[in-house]
Amino acid sequence: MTALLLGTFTLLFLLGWPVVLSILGPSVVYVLMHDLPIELIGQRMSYALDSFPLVAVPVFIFVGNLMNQAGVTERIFRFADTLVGRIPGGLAQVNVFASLIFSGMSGAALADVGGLGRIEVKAMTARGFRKDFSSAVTVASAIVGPIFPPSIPLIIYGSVTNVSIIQLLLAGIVPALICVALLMITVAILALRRDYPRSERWPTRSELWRDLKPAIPALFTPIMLVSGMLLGFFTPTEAASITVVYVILITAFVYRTLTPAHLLYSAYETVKSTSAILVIVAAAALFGWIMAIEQIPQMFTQGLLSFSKDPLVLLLVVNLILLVVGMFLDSTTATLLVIPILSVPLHQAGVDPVHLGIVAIFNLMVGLLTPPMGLALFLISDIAKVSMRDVLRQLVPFYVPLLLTLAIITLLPELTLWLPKMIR
Amino acid sequence: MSDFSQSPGAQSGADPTACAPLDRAVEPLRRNLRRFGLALLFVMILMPALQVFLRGVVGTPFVGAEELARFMLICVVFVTLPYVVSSGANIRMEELISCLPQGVQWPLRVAIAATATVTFGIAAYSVAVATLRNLDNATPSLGIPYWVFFSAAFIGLLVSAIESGVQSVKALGRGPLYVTFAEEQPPEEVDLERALAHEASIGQNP
Repeated sequence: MTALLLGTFTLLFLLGWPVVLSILGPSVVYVLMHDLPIELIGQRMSYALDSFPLVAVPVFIFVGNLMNQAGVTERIFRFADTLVGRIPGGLAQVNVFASLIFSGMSGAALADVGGLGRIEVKAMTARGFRKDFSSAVTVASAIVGPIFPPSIPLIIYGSVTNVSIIQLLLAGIVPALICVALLMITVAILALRRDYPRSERWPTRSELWRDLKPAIPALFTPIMLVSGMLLGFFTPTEAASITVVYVILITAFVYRTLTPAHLLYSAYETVKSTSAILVIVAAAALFGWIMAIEQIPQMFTQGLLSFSKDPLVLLLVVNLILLVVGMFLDSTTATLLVIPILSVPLHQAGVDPVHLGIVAIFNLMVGLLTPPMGLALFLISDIAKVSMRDVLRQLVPFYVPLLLTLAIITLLPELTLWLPKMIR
Repeated sequence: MSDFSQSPGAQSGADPTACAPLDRAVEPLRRNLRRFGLALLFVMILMPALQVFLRGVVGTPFVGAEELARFMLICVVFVTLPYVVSSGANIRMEELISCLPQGVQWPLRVAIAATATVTFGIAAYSVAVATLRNLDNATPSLGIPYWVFFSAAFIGLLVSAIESGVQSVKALGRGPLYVTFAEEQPPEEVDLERALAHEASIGQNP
């Protein structure tokens, strides 16, 4: 029965059914076939959303939309261009650096590729970069943001596994910085070999200040967010709400760029993204409940623990599983369907759940770039009008820093855990 | 005057006006639900910030603020679900289906819309049953009656079933599936080229 459920889900998903229907359809059929009380469907779906941490999801999405609409994004890109534009790779480096700040706000790496990615490819192409290389840099860097606060995937991970979201958000900072550093080194090596364009000289102190000054209020946003949570002033959800108020204030009174039309458009985009993501959370709760009835987590736990009880071996096995899963599913769906099953044996073997969260989410993001079904590859080749083969060819060197980051965060849990341990 | 426009839904050569009467019929419902969803969103977003203010500055936290925010989240997700369905914003993998021949795509699109109608319809019915069986219950802190608690899910799933039904008819007639609205068009787009054109440019090395 379980195989039939999972098979139907996979088939429907691959044939273009919306994820929510791919999950909900077979689950509804299961409930009807097993003569279970029909009200279970509505109750499970509603109660899945009755979660205060999940309130942060739409709030962070709204922040991201507002920042894009009210010109904050442009100011940060401009500052990033001045700061790192001279490093070999120029605008490609800016692309990597800026992704750190923006990707986490859009909800998922895929949404980021679809939104900012298109604009980044356009700007890089206008500066003389090849379209396929621009596309490769854009998708490779887009996967960093989802482990850097604020991160929607980490909030969803925390809510389905009951792991502290504050600790998860803090834990992602060091791995994200490592990944950005490795990506920037890769871009620099490629740029030097291929003689890519960059700024003619390093900025003077006055040029740096000129572009830093307008970006300061915006750059203060993640600092306020992290320090507020670290010092225990507010929960992640409250931090998200405070951030909205802060962004509205700076865009309305400091930048004077916010208009009612921006506010309205951002709100429309937010409700659309929120409902599209969180209705999957609702449907997955029913699916997860059915998996529990079928005792899938227990069977998987027994199987995996009989294979090995060594946390490191288990982490490596889970990494392989997640890489394959990430090739086929978007991160939200994979987090909701697969993580609750995978996390049980790893917790039992002594893997820190916060560590597992960072490894799992980063891994799923790498899966988005991996053929045959890497969804980010499909998306960027469609957006940039470049063949997937050309993007893949340019992407090959970027697998090195990405997989190296994955190896580092898997093998060295202390790197991930030292920040969250400060509040334990 | 109608403020919506049709988007193709990956069906080339379709007549965009073919299903307009159907869209016009459900337009008031769409407009009101969208606006209601926006109002709920703003309340939900500001609720935690208000709580921080009341707790940290005024010193009198609002008991039940978390419960209200959670309730608002449920409402926002379900009330705006029909909007997601009608605008084709559901998360899906379109890549494989768009590679298939038109002769295969068409029945698939009909099947997707039809199964959506049935699935959302059953889900709406299940919420109605859950509501009727919990008529005397209420949420713990704020005492929100369960019929209110479940109402957003019921309305959202029911209207999503209706929207999917409309799409089934459109798909059968090979018409465009999705609708977009004038007020949801971006006022302006992020322009990196403009942002990166510094007043005193550092210049580029070709």
